[in-house]
Parts: sequence; structure tokens; C-alpha cells
Amino acid sequence: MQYCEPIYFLIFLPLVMLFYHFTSQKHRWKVLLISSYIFFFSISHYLLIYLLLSTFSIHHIGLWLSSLQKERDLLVKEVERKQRKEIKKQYQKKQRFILAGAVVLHVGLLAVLKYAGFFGTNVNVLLNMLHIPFQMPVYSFMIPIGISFYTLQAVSYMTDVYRGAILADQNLGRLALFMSFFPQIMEGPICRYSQTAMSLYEGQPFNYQSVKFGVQRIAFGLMKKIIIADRLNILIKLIFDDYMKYDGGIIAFSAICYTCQLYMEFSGTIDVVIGSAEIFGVQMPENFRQPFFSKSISEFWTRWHITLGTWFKDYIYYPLSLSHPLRRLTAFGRKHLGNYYGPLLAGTIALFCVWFCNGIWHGSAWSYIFFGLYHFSFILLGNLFQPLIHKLPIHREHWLYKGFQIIRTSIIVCIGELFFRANSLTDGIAMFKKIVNDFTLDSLTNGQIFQMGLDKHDFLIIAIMVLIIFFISIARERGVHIREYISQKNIVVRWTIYYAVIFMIIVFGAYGVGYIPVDPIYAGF
Amino acid sequence: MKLNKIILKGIIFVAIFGVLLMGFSYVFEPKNNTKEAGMRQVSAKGILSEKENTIDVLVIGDSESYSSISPMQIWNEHGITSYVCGTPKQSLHDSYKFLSDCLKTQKPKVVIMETNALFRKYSLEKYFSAKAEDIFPIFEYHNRWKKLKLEDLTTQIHYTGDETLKGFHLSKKVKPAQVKNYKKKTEEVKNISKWNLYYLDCLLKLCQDNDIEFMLLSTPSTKNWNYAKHNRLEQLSQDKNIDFLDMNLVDQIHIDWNKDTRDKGDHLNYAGAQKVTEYLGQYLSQNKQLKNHKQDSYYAKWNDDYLKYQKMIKK
Repeated sequence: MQYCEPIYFLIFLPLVMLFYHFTSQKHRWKVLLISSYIFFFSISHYLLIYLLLSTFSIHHIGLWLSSLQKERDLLVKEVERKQRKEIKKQYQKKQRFILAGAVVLHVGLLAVLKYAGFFGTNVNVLLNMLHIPFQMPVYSFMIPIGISFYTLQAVSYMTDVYRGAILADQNLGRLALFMSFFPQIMEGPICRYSQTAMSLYEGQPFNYQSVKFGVQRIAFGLMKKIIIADRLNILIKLIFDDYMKYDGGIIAFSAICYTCQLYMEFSGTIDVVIGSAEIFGVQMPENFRQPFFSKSISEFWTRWHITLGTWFKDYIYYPLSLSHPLRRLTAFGRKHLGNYYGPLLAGTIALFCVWFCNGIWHGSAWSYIFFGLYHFSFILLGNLFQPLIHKLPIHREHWLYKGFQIIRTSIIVCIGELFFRANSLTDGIAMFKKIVNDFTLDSLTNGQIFQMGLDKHDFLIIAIMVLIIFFISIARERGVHIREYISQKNIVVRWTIYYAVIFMIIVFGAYGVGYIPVDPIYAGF
Repeated sequence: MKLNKIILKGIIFVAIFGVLLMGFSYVFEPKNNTKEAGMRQVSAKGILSEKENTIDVLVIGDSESYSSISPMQIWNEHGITSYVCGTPKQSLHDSYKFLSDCLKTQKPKVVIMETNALFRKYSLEKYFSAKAEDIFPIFEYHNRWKKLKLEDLTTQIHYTGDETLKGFHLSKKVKPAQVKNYKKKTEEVKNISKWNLYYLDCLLKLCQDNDIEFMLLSTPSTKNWNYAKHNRLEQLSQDKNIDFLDMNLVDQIHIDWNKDTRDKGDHLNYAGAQKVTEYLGQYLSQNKQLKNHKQDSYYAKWNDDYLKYQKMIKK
């Protein structure tokens, strides 16, 4: 079962809604929890045990940290001021030790399940290169769905308890629901305990407005996924699987198409996810904010997969930047390189770690690590040249300059996505070389492009849909909320729009014979 | 807003949606059973334009059925009319649909089910999507928006397709098969899913209600057939009291796996189909009470079609 399949939005979700509605408010969280486990089980079967283990362990760790904090506070009250610092230090050390152990356990499990094969293969390659007559056994494990997402939620929960940002939850059920809530388990968004746990547990009765808005958002997401992303799949698969046959123009075009597909697939699924949660009165954090209006790569990552970016910022970038060695490095840098480039030195080390983790989080392949470091390089270049660019006599607020920045950022993103989608890093490099050395627009102009699984009608419908989404994005960028705008119209206009959207999906959707729907891309990470 | 009002609005919304779906379905449904009109599975759907009450034997099943049985050969040798409503990866739901559609214009005496489809996986999701396509053809034919014409709004459905091969897939390709352990005996019994058993019961009931004899047929295939499947089908034929003919175990057919398959034993080619059809024709004429219509003027078109068929097989 996947979010954009009829079995989810026409059968599973309505059934959960029905049970939810006819259950008393006190027990509604149980309906959501049981549904979440059924959803998980339907995909990963007995690997549900991993999720259960994670849930039990973070519950226990949270309570352990909390009891230490209480113990510390009691002790601190009883002793003199001089001793307080020492006690706090002792308890801090204990807590840090527990947290570190728990994080190693969770991230270690993720690493073993996800990267054991990659690690083993690469070590063997290295041993071969060094002519060492030893080969490591290469293990590969079944990976439970959503482990990359719920592990990050688990780490954020434990860290937030450690930091005192939230109180440890006594209620195992609430924590279990926070970890497993079915709309988000496969592709995120990565939520913090303080964002969703309470509202999930409250079991709010259905609110007409929320249900209406939720369903509208689901329909909007399906439109993106089924009409655009699934349609582009045929062309993208064909080119990426056999790129040697095509010239640089076609490959560049396929990189643009893939970027479009990835955005429509991921943001469309997130629309379905957020819409589903909205039906139950749960507001999830947004994961996208018109990313293709970004003027730089750093801005792009504040608009694309936002919850992953903020997670890395809060749980890797800041802790590393504020760590003792890097603070010392910053002080050293300030002294020798000045107030701009000085802190940049330590910041860059933290940034490197973030982007290495970002790359490898996406999957166990060199192409993903390259993808992370590719973005790191552009952010670093941006940081290095920022003072220089500011000195240039350019009218930075001029629309032409802004347009140039947006197009430049989009091109960098598309090239990055080419490596991201390529079947291997070697393929990615070869494809990029083809764009540089063998670029021609002939195949795009002589009609060859229409012989690759998509005809003129398909391209026309993609263009129309992309334009519709582009205008909606402009409206959002300007603070206009389309759903609220529609809800102010009379019933004839509203219903006409609803039917138009539904029939657009039914008629123009790329489903049935001749189409292969794209698998949920981020669920694979 | 009050709950009653919300429910009422919901009902009206769904009702209008249903009407719109029917309207769209009418527009998108092909108006003829030809490829030009946008119909899918044209060779199997050719049955829709066969002259009323002319088909005596209907074959349903997956690609094994249309690769193995040539109705025109049976006609030539025994004067028995048959049609193969086989489609790739046919589910039993589709088989049921073909039979019930066929019964609108035909009164077959025998329905033959090629058994490979019985072992195919089926799911709740497939069931719902198949049902939705049955009720609202727009789900199956939505992609016709690319070729939609104004006439589709007004034209009535009228089937005129002319399928000389009567559902048979003619292929003269040869890709020899490796025959190892193909007929190795075993006590194992291959499972048939509950979904498929349910649909088999539905098919049997439909045949019973229409006074049709139902039989199971396993055509030769080194890739798709095995003894465990045979064992289950034997059990099934005894339980349900239906005829079962397993051609994999009939030595007289003499399938030569070096020459008679088009894809390494998965499906038969024309040479293989000739042998299987010859045996099936004899079996039908000896065991089922079917008339020879060769001299009957009502079936004159079959003789014309056979002349065309001869030209096709000589190519």
C-alpha cells in the first residue's frame, strides 16, 4: 500500500476515518495507533519488530534521562551553591553517556541494516586493491519501511529530552503513535515530538473545515504525482537505463525531467501525507516551500525537504559548531582570518559533516555521497565569495538579477539530481560528460523525443500541469492561500473546481495499461 | 455546519460525481471493437461482433490459451465453431467478464478454461480496480483523451470488428526449450488462492445457469506447467466434478520442444498449436455433443474466414 494508490485514499484512509469517528475521543489515539501498525505491517510485515523495539527503547531512555534530571534538581536544591556546579556537571556527563549510547544504538541499527552491504563491498574492493588476500562477508538485510525517517524522530525525541526542551513522555502509547503515525511513516515529514505528539493523542473530533482542506490537499498531491511524476517515469527510465544511446541534449532534458518528477512525486506525496493528517486535526510541518524560486543553493535547502534540513541543522550542525574543539577553532580563526572567514572555518567543518550525512542518509551508494558533497561545495563557494559578490556593482534587487539567480540555482539543482538518479556514480559522471561534450538540440527538434514513450499529447499535458502548479506556487509565494480563496466562492464554483480536479486525475492520470507508476522515491531512503 | 447538512452535501456531491463518471465513461468507451476505435484486447473482444448464436466452444485463459488453440483449424477439421477469449495475464475476474459478455449474444455449449490463470496471484486491490473498470469504462479507457473525437459524444456502440483468427495468436517464431525435469513426478500440490477458487465457482455457476459444460485444459508449457499444478487440478476436477484434460501428459500430441515453441517453452508457436488443436478438435468431437456446421449456410462466413486463414498461415 502506498499513499498515492487508490487502496490507500479510497479504502484504508476512509475506513480509519470511520473507526476514528465512531470511537470515543479518549480512545481515538488507539484507532490511529492500530491503523498505523496495520499500515506498517502491510508493507514490512514482521519487520514491525524494529519499530516496536525503537519505540520501547526511546520510551525507556526518555524516562531514564528524566529521572536523572529530577534527581539532579532535588540534589541541587539541597546543597550549597559551590557544589551545585559540580553536581550538574556529573549528571550532565551521565546523561550525555546515556544519550550517546542510545543514539549509537539507533543510528547503528540503521547503519547496519542500510549500509552493511555497501560497507562490505567497498572494503573488499579496497582489500583487493591492496592485494590483501582476505574478503569480508557482505551482508544485506531486509529494511523496514520508514526506518530512515523514524530513526531521526527517535534521535530528536531523546535529544530534546536530554536538552530539557521537552519532558519525557510517560505514556508509551502516545510515543508509539508519534513514531508510527501511518501518513508520515514512509516519506516523512520528519516531525518533532513537540509538533505532533500531543495533537495526535488528543483525538479531536472531525472538523468540517479540516476534513475539507485535508481532502483538497490530498487531491492536489495526487494530481502532481499521478499526472506528472508517473507520466515522466517512462521517459526517465528509458534514458537513465540506457544513456549511452542518447546525445547530451536528451540527457540534459532527462535531468530536467527527473528534477521535475522528483519534486512532483515527493511534494505530491507530502501533500497527501499532510492532507491525511489534517483530516485528523493534526498539523504537520511543511516539507516544501516553492523550492524552485530559490536564489542560492543554501536557500534551496531551506525550501526543499525542509524537515530533513532543520533536523541536520539542530542535531548535527549546531552541536558540532558549539563543540569545544570547533569553538576553539573559531576563536583561532577570528584572530587570524577576521570576523567573516574566521567562524567560517569551523562552520565549514560542521557543514561538511551535515552534507556527508545528508548524502549517505539518502542511500548506500557513492552517488548519494557525491550528491551531498556536490551541494556542500556550492554552499561553501557561496559562503567564500559572498563578501566579493557584495562588493560588485550589481543591483541585487533588480528582477533580472533575481531571475538569473533563480535559473542558476535551478541548473545546479538539475545537475545534482542527474547524479542522484544515475544508476551509479560512474554513470552519473559519464552522463554529465555527454552533456558537456556531446550537446546538441537535434534530438529535441527532429521529433526523436516523441519516440521515447511519451508523445506530443503527453508533453502537452505535462506542460499545462507544470504551468498550473507554477502559478499556484507564485500565488503561495505572494501569501495567497488557494484553498481559502476557493472556499470563499459560491458552491457552484467550488464544486466545479473539485470535479475538474478529480476528472483531471481520472482522465489525464498516467495509470493503467502502458504506464509504470514511479515507486515512492523517498520511501526507498 | 450541522452533521446532517454535511452528510446531505456529501451524498449530493457523490451522486453528481457518479452521474459525471457515467457520462465520461460513455464518451471514453470505444464505440467499436476495433483497434482504430481504441478498443483494447481486440483479438479476444472480436467475439462481440461474431454473428449471434454461432459460437459453440468458448476458450478463456491467459496467453497459453491464445498461443495453443486455433479455432479455424478446429473448424476446418470438425466444423465446430470456437473462439479464444484469451488475453495476456488474464485474471479469473476477466475470464468471468468475457464469459458474461459473450453470453449476451452467444450460447456456447462448452467453455474451456486454460488452467494457467488459476495459479496467478490476485489481490483485493486488483479486484477493486477491475470492478471499477467494469462499472465505469473511463478507468480503462481514460487514455483515449488523446484521440477523442466529437463523434464519441453522439455515436452509439456498434461492434463490427472482424477477427479471422478468432482469438488465436499466430506466431512462427522458434526458440527451442531446454527440457529438464519438465514432467518430473511429485506428490506436491500447488495451491490455488481463495480468490481464484471463488471466481472458479462463479464461472461454474454461470455455466450451470446457462446449461454450458465447463472443462479445464492445461496446454503444453515447460515453463508454466509442473506436476504439482497437475495434482491440484486433478483434485479440483474431482471435487467439482468437471472434465480436466492435461495435454502435457498426452504423448500422442508429440510436442517437439526444439521446434514447437516460440519462447523457450513458455508458449507454443504455430507448429505446436497445430498439434494441440488437432488433438483438442478430436477430443471435442468425440466427447462433447457438438454439431458439424460446415454445410450450414448460417455459418457460411466461417468458410470465407478459413480461406483468409489459409493465406495468413502461408505467409
